[in-house]
Amino acid sequence: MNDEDTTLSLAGLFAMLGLLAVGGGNGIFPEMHRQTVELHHWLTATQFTDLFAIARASPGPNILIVTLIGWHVGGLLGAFVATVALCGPSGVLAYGVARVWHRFRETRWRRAVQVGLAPVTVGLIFASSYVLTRAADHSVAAYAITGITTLIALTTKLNPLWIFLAVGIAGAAGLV
Amino acid sequence: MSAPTDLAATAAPPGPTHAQLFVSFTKIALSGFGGTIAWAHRELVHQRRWMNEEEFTEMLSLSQFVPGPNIANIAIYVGGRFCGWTGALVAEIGLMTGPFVILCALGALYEKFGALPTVSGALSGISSAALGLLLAMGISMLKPFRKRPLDIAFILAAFLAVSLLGASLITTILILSPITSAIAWFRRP
Repeated sequence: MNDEDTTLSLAGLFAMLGLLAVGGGNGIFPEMHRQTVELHHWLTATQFTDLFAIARASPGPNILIVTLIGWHVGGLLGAFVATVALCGPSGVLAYGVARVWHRFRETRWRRAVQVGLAPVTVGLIFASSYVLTRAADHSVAAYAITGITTLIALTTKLNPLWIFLAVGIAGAAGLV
Repeated sequence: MSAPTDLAATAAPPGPTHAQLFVSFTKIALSGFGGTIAWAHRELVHQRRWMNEEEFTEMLSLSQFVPGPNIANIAIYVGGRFCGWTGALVAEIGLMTGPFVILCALGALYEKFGALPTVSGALSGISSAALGLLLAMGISMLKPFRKRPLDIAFILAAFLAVSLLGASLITTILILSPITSAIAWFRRP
């Protein structure tokens, strides 16, 4: 596959994922992983979770892992195409819905769709954490970090950046 | 006094210009560690006073209804409300430019140094923690479903379909959400 084809399939894939990013978008990672790692072999499973970590620890929506994947696949152009593809179609949809929102926000079907999407969204978030945890080459220490971070996040209001700093140092020291 | 321009001048505080939209959403994007929505609320409701609490809540509901990151949908809503589609575009670009530049720089660094043992070690630590945050998000989102076994069943179905059965995202959403929406439709009084 030549570069142009790769950029095009990158655009097509991320445009679709942007439109499927229900409930904020944390449920699209399994599909993104399947397509970019298993089907297209644009990056390895470890590179995917590395980029996931970078996107999560940087400002901006987590979903901007697509910018990093785009950069990895096709440099600056790849990053740009990936970002625009993800945000463009879903952005146009959001604009269209916002314009007519007042007309249907009180309707029964709108509430039904929103209430109905909620359990699907939650299930997809669990699938995301499961698939990505299994995909990474996880050591016992890594599982422990995942478990402890889960507990800390559920029981405290600690800024996650402190956790990232601590486990980043531990990882750099070869402890993970 | 009856000219429309006078009416506009005496109406509620003037809305933002394109430049103000750009600056505000750049700020929101770059201060958004651990919760862009909280920053957006602070900036839009308290500091700029472009909208009140009620409108912010309504906008949040809309942003969760349509696909895409909630904060991106908020940018499009606010930009569009005050300056039409060009405003929506400018707000979205304001939101994305800062993170885009930072991520490109980090992406370039990763290509160069990602294979170093210290860097890959640090990243595997951070990704393990990031996955913990994602899991915690899922667990805390379970709360409203505690007494709704049918919803729990669909949460489980969506999870299993994607994680173990290898169903594609589009199939999972297109099959499950019409069923769950239909159930929600009939459950409402």
